[in-house]
Amino acid sequence: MTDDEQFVEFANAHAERLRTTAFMLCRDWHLAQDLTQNALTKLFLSWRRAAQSDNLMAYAQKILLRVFLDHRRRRSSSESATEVLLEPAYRESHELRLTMMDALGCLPERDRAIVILRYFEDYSVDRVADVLELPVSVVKSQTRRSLAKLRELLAEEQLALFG
Amino acid sequence: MTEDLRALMRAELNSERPPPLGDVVGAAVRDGRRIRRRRRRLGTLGAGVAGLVAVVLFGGIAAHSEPRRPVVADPGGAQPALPATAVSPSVSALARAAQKSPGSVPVAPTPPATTAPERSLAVHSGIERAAGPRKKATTGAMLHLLTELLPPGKTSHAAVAADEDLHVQMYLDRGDGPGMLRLTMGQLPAGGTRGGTASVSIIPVPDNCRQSYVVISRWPDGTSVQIDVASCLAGTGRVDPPGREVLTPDEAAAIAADPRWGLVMDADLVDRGDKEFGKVPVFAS
Repeated sequence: MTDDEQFVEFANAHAERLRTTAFMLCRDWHLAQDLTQNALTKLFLSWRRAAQSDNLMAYAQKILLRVFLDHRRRRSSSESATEVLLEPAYRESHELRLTMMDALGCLPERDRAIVILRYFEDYSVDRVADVLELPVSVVKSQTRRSLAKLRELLAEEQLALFG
Repeated sequence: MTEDLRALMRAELNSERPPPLGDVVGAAVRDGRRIRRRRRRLGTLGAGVAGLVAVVLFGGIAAHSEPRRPVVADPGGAQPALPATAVSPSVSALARAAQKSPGSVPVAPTPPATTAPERSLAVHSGIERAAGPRKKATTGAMLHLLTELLPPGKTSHAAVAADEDLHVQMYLDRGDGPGMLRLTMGQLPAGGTRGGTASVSIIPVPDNCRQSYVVISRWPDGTSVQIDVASCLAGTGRVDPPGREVLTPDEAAAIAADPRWGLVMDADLVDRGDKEFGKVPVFAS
C-alpha cells in the first residue's frame, strides 16, 4: 500500500471524528468542515513523519487544533472574546436556552480546546499537554478555571430559566 | 461535574444534525498534491536561482576581493558554489508563502426531513475501449464530453476554475430556463483497476443553491467525478439569481458514470475539446 493510499484509508476512517472535534471547538459545521480539510491537507503533506508516530489520531488532532488556533489568531484582529455568547438569531431559535456548547464558546480558544480534549476526547492531562504543547501544570490550572467558569455560566442560566 | 459535562456535551452533540461530510478527504488529497507540486516547482526554481546567485555572488566577491590585475585564464580553477543550505531558508520561505490555503470542500448543510434521502447506486457503465491514443485530460475535453452527454438543450456559459483543477461549469437550457452545472474530476489513490462499474452517490444539499444536489461517481481505480446540479445561476455568491435544476438525479448519475471520464482521456476528444473550449472564461467559485 502506498503512502497516499494509507493516508486515504486513515482519513476516511477518521475524518468524521476530526470534524466532530472541530465542531466542538468552533460550533459551526461549515467552519468545522474547512478546518478538517485544512488539517487533513497538512497531514497529507507530513504523512511520512506522521505515520511513524505512536498515536496517529492524536497527531491528526494536534494538527487540527493548530489549524483551529491559527484560524482564530488570524481572525483575532477583527474579533474579540465576548461575554455575550449567542448570535441573535441563534439565541431566538433556542429560546434563551444556554447550552453546554454555548458555554464552551465563552471560554478562550485554548481553554476550550483543553476542556474538549480532556472531557470529550477523554485524554489524560499529560496527553492534552502534549497535544497542545503546554506544561502539565498549565493544563491542570486552566482546566480548573474553565470548569469553574462553565459551572458559573450554566448555573446562571438555570436561574434564568427557572427563577 | 465532569461526568455531567461529558454527558451534556455528548447529548448536545447527539442532537446536532451535521451536514454530509462530502469529499473532504479527496479535497485534502488534491490540495496536498497541488502544494507538493508547487513546492517541487519552487524547489527547482530555487535551485536555479541559487545557482545563478552563487555565480553572480562568487563573481562579485572574486571581482572585489581579488587585487586588480590582468585577467588570466585559469582552465584548472574550480568554481566553488555556495552550499545549498545557504539559500534553502529563503527558498522554503518562498514555498511556504506560495502555499495557498486549501479551498473549501463544498459544504452540504443539514437537509430538512422532507428532502429526498441521500442514495448510492452501482452503475455498470461499461469499459471504454478507445482504439486511438490517449492524452492527459483537460478542462476543454471535460466541457466537450459534458456537452455530448447532456440531454438536448442549449448550452452556454462554459467556464473553468481559476486554479489548475479539472473543474468546469456549463449552463443548460432545456426550454424552460437555464440551469447551472459544475463538474469536477479527480483521482484518489486506490489499488484497483478501472473496472466497468462506478459507485455513484446522490447527495441532496437543500440549503446550497449552487449544489442543490451533488452526484459523485467513483471507480475502483480511484477516478472520481462530481457533478453539482444547481438550482441557481452563478452570481456573487451571496446573491445568486434563480435557475433551474436541469438534470434529474438519475440523468446526472448516468453522466457522472460515463466510462470516458478520467485523468487520461481519448486524445481525439481532448483535441476537439481544446479546440472548442480552449479559451473560455474563468468562473468565480
